[in-house]
Amino acid sequence: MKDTVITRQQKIKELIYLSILFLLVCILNLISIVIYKTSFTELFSEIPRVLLITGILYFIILLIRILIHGLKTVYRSLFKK
Amino acid sequence: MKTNTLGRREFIKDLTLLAGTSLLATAPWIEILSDTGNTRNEKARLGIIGCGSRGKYLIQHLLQNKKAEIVAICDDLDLHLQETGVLVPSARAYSDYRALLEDKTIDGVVIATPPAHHASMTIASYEAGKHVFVEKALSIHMEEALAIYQAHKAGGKVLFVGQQRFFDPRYIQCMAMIHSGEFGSIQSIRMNWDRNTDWRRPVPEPGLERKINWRLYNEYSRGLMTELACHQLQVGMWAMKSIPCKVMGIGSRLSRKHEREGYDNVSCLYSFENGVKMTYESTNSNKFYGLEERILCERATFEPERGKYYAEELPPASGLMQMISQAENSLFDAIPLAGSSWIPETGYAGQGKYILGSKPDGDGTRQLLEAYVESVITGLQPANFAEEAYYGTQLCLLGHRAMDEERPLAFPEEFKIDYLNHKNVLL
Repeated sequence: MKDTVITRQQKIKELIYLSILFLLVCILNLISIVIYKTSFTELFSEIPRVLLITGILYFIILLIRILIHGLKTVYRSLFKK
Repeated sequence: MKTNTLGRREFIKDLTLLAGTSLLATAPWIEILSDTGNTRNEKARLGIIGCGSRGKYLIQHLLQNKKAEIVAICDDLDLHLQETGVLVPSARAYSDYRALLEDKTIDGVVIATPPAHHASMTIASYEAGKHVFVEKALSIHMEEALAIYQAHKAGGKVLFVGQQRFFDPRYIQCMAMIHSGEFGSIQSIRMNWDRNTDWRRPVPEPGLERKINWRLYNEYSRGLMTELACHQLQVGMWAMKSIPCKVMGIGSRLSRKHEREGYDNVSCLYSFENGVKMTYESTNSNKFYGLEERILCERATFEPERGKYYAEELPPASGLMQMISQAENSLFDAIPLAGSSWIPETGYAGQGKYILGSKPDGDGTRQLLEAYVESVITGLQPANFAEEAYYGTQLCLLGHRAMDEERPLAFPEEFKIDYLNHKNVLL
């Protein structure tokens, strides 16, 4: 099996994805607090749930990206032939 | 021995932590356990009258208490005496309780015989100067129960009754929570105790049928009422801090497989002065619902037997969870074809919360007997205990009488004692 190298640039890119997702879920939390008129302390008390949802979303997006990457690879190999 | 000492300490510690002063207001009788250090080197010398299954169960608890010394045992069945002799070989054996009562070395007795014998044995024990622990119910006749209470008050000797819920921390804390008013007033009390058993014990020879299976015969017992209801009715009274003023009831024999003289299913309705009702039901042919005690308050429902309570209004879910739930419902829920039905109103299936913070264990028997041993040593009667136990018996006997007479009955004036909402106006 061949060694896999994850570059610094790729790591930064993944961290940016995660941060954007975390920020989006935080905003979603804020919107839900306003809509359902719950306590603003949920901005902090719901952080574990926000992190969990961030992780789930990141995983789903990762699957989609792997799928797209796979399709692209197949397309390129077909195109080269 | 060591385990028991720790257990007692833990119990006292538990009680101290539970509710502080409000706990003593709810269960003043537990004060007897508050200063056990002073009696560390003393012993209560006990005689056991009645060595059947219950008697042996109590003996096993007492044997773990290093302050208790069982010096004598008594039963009119040789079989019981032989079995118990193995447990306490040093104890003197008697076949007549009157001979045991003549033993001057005995400080107190534990009476675990059929309820029909309780009155004569208890009163004879008081006359012999002994303290008394007697199993519930106090008697099968209301007149005798009153005679026991009066003999206790007249002689000043200790009266303990086998109502172990009195000393069970989960019940004590449950009552403290209810009495705090935080959960609103009591709206209804529902008790049931269902079994699927014929209640019959193996009999070595036919002549002993009535002596061993005494629970099935009116001569010795009032069946489901004296053996089961007695416990639960007292719990309802304890929660209400009031004694019911009326009772109506219906009892019958339904099951052909269970031969007995008494009822094999009973249903009673007790009403309190403020309009609250307490129902009691028991059957011997279906155990699905088992033993349940439900105290319905305005803001919570208590199930002390499970050690749990359930808030009436659950705190709303967080905004985020509500949003997710709504999104999930709009995506996956089926389109309703008709209006709402009764389905959404079926009972709450949530887990509730533990009254003591965790799953309780034991049933209070150990603590009850430890309290009795302390009382025998100190000679102090725990506050309110005899009165609560007295009414526990009277309520079950009144319910049985209402079923026998097939009519609603008010609590008779002649059996009222000065306690809670009752005053004895006849004295």
